[in-house]
Amino acid sequence: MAGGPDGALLDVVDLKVDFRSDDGLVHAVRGVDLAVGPGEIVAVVGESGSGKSVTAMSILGLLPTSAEITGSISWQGEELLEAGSGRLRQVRGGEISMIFQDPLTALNPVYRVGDQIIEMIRSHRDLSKREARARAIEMLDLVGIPQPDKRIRQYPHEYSGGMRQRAMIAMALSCDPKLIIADEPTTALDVTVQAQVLELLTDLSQRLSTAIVLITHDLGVVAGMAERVVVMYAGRLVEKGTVDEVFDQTSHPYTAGLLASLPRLDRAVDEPLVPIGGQPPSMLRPPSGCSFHPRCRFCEEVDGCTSIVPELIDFGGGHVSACHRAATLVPDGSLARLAATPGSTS
Amino acid sequence: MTALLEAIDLHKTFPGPREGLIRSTVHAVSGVSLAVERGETVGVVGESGCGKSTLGRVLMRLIKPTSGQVLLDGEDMADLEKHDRKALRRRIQIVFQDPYASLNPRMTIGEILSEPFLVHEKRKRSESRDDVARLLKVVGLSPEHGSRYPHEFSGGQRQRVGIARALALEPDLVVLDEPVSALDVSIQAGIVNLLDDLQDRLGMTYLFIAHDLSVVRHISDRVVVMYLGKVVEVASTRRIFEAPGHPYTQALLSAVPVADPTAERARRRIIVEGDVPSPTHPPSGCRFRTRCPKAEDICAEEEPLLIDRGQDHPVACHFAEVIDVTSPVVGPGEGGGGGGDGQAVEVSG
Repeated sequence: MAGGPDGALLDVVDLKVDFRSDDGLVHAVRGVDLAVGPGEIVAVVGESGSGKSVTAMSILGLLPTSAEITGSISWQGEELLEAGSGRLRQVRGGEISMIFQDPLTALNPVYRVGDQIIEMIRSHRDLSKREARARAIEMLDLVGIPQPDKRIRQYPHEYSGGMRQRAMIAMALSCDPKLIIADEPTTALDVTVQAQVLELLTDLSQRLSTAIVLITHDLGVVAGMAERVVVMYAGRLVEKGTVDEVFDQTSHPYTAGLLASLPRLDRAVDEPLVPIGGQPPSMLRPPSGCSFHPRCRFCEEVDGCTSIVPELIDFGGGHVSACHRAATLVPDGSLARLAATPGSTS
Repeated sequence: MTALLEAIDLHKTFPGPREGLIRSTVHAVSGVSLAVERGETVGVVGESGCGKSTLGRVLMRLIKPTSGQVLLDGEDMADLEKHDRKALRRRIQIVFQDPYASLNPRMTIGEILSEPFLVHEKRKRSESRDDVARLLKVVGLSPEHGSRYPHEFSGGQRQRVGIARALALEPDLVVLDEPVSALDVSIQAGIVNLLDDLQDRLGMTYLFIAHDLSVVRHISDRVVVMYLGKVVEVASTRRIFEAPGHPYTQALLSAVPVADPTAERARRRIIVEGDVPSPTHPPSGCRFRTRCPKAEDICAEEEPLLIDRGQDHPVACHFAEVIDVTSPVVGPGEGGGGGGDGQAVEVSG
């Protein structure tokens, strides 16, 4: 069921991104693999500074020139890291679209919403203005904007937050992309509007068989929407698998810690949350060995946690974890217990 | 016993954008009454624009209400302020959302924390050194941190400083305005636990303002749900989350994603349409009616009052009816005609 690297639309292998800064090299992404099959919804989860957004931006060649990118980003067999700017422009919007967190900054405030969608369509498809306009109206209608023929003439400020995000989705879908990269698409929205937008995205992905890379910090959103999930910490992949594997058979202490620290509506209230101790590391000088070791409750020096970068261990069917101690912690149930800590009701 | 804090029919309007020749009015808080008892945590939840932050500021008199009254221990806050504003500030403190903007970047943590003693007790910084060290320890930082500047701290640590500052003068009430929403989840949990712990140890009273229902549920004893400037429902945390009575609360709860793929797949959401209307022109009658799945003609004509139908659980809805949205298979239509309360049957029949 999970689309592996064979037949994958997008296959990112060993991606590394460094930024030059006044204080030295910032190692934002340090070896990430990500494969997305046709029509699949894959979530990339992590906290601020985990490198999840940088990963997304590098796929579309949107990083500033101060970024040094190595590794491979293969799009339907074509290496995007070697593609010229003309080719990248074709890919962006035409084959891979992006939805940003804040639609107010992503939309140009001085152009009508409709004109922005029409411009997007006409830069990728050979359509007349009239045809492109009809297509824009169709797209606005598809994403559930009422009176699309009127709304198309309005400016972004005349739209509400949820409508703007819908317009962004309409724009992203207007050229039938095979993949949408959604970077925190609902973080700026209220929870009732978030529910609408997530339902819309899921529904459209199924109907149009568009693959989605969903970048988010919200484990609830991941559980509700994604099929597979990649957990990132300090620029590295720490766990990867189907949502059920990652949530129910958690195999990395960081993932388990995230789950334990989350206040949840489906759990008992009385027990305290379990925070992850310490602070996220500086990416100028990431910790040696496993980057999570300074905050890890299971860290053991003898196992190499502090000195050796952990390899990915396969727990079967592509469910992998980068933890020296996973081979002990998974079978003895420590991770499952931690992940389910605050008085799990089930 | 009088409540520690009581708000009676509070209104707050702001001048809005110009519409032709007339300046419109933003109705931020419209007729809110609530009480906070000593030692409890009251959570105020609602989405952006519901007036929860304005309410918090009006309650501590950072801004004056347009009309209505706030009583602190039975005394009118307007009088208290006239008499001695400083004394009033001592009794209510606030922790702000953004720990980056709320600490002066040019002061050390020690200076920031000795400021309350300087202002209110005229103590020189050197005389409050012990108190600063004590405060830092209370919030889980070490006394050596006092000589550092805010930029040397992470978001979570800064929020601890913000909390320490609020606690410095042992206030009766602390207003927490989205204190954890700017933080990563792994850090959030530490702050939530700290607040819980401080309440146990120091008997604090909190007004916890937030949009995140999961966090509110974790920390509050009672919850006030707001929508577009009005209180739509008040109940104990348990009641609100197990048996919400207002369609808005139900939709809100049903919209919260849960980090459990199996439960998420089994779930049927109550999805409310559209966005929150503008507070410049709130809908007539019930303000939620434009998005409400249960709305009927009466909802546009008559404003529902916040009525307690028993169990100390007032709900402002013409068709208030308790449903359990936490169980996975509940749809919007269920239980519609049959087992509702008298009012629902009367109108639909």
